[in-house]
Amino acid sequence: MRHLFLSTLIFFMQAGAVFADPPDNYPFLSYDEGLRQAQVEKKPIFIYFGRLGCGFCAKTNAESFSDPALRERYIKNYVLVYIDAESGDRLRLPSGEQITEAEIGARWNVFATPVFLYADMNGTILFRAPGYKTVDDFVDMDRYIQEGHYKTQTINEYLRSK
Amino acid sequence: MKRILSTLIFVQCVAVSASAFAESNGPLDFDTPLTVYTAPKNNFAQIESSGRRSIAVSGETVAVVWTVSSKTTSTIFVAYRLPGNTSFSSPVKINRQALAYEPSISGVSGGRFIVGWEEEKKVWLRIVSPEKNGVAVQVGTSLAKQVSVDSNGKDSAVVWSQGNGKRYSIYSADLHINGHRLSIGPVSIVDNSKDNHAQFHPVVALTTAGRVVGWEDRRDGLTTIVTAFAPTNKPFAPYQLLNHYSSSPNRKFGRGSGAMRIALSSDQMTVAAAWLDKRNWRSGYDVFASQSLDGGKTFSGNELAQDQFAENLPQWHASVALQTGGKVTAVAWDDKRNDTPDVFYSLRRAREWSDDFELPGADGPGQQSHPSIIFDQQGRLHAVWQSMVNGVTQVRYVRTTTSQ
Repeated sequence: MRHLFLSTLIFFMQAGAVFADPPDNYPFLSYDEGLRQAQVEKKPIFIYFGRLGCGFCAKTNAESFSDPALRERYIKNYVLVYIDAESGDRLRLPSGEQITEAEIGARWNVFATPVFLYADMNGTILFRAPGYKTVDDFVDMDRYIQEGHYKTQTINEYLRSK
Repeated sequence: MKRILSTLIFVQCVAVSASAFAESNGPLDFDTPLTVYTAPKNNFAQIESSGRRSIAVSGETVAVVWTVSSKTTSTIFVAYRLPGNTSFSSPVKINRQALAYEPSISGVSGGRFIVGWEEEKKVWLRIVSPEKNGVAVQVGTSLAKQVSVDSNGKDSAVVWSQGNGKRYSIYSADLHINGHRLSIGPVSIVDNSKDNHAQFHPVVALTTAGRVVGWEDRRDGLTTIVTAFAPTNKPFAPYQLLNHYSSSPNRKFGRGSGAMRIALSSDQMTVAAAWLDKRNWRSGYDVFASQSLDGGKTFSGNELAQDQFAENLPQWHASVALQTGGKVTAVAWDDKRNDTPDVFYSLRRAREWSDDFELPGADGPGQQSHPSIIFDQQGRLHAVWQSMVNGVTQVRYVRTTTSQ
């Protein structure tokens, strides 16, 4: 029994290592699934653009997304989308066009990961935050979106005024 | 006085040599670009394939493959430019009945072509020509994708990625062609190692020594570019890392810079490789290239194929073509140095990469992207790319005027 448990654990550890690495225990969806889900839940979308082997993605996962309160806040407030910047997985855009996850990076000019994007429920990007972010950064950015400050202020104006 | 005179003569010789090289490594001369296909409203023409093999030449006939997608469809088409014609034929459907993706094409003799594609999560192949389509043949098992084909007139081969969930390995098979009939030889796994379960986007190149397969490999916790060589009629040797990546300074966080989408082109004993490489990660992917002079067994060092003007912004969708004789390598890609995506190319002659040149017709408003290039036997470079201007997508084509 113990042998079976260890074998299963090793299998999932190996399986987890083969694709890009979103943080554990977050209900991330693909981009097209996320767009559909946002329409159902009437929620904004949080898009995490990562890459397998990306150091600052791993740092953000370990030091920020591991925070239980942050996890609860983001699951409650957003439809969560993860995009693997090098993936050939296909998705269908609302227009009907089929492209790969990597192609989204080419179109949005996302090339140095991680990049975190906040979008409304229609997929319109509200703002983008590149690079490593702390728990406090993510809380600030969440307030910027949820309290509607993005409508009148840039993120820097909001951070200076708070 | 004699020394001064010698110095002046030397300087003049260097200047003349440099000037001659600059002229010999200048841009190519192209014919007027052509539109191969214009997608109807709410449809999208796309050039996407493993190894960027979307154009092929057989004799004097040029063939281009692409996908058209809409909210409910995804269909693969081929169009031909016949010898002496100034336009392409009407598009001919290639796939069967289901949604189909990512076609790859290579020229066979007699104006025929092999086309591979993904349909119903399986890989299919058929021989096509302007006269007719041969019967579609499935290769591999279910859950197969990212097919790429190559033919050198004598031998033909196919590679694809096959697996389950996120665990995929690369497979290869010989192709036997008789007229428009196609049969598949024994299937072999390219890499037999135990941790071979994270392999994607393969491409194959045939040489007089055997075959070389390149692919993306994720076993080390980042995406690397690797190759494996098989002598004719023999199994594949162990894989070799092709891209030189920089490890993360802190191994606790991340494994290093990434790379993706290798393309190969071969002639006799020479193989040219190009791929997207993020070793200069602050500016995104660059186009790197390498060459093999021993039929694909080993590759030389990595070379930056683009010039310095392109270094501060990402490049995408690299394609490579090797001219017959192996003396000229062309690499094409797209980037946004002009604000919107345009297609650029550079040439490797006498071991030096040229400046970057805009591909005629593949610049201007909208997106001009996803180039695929090939040299024909006469040394002319052919290029195809996708264009999206004001929501209208097209497949566009251009070729050089003469052998260059």
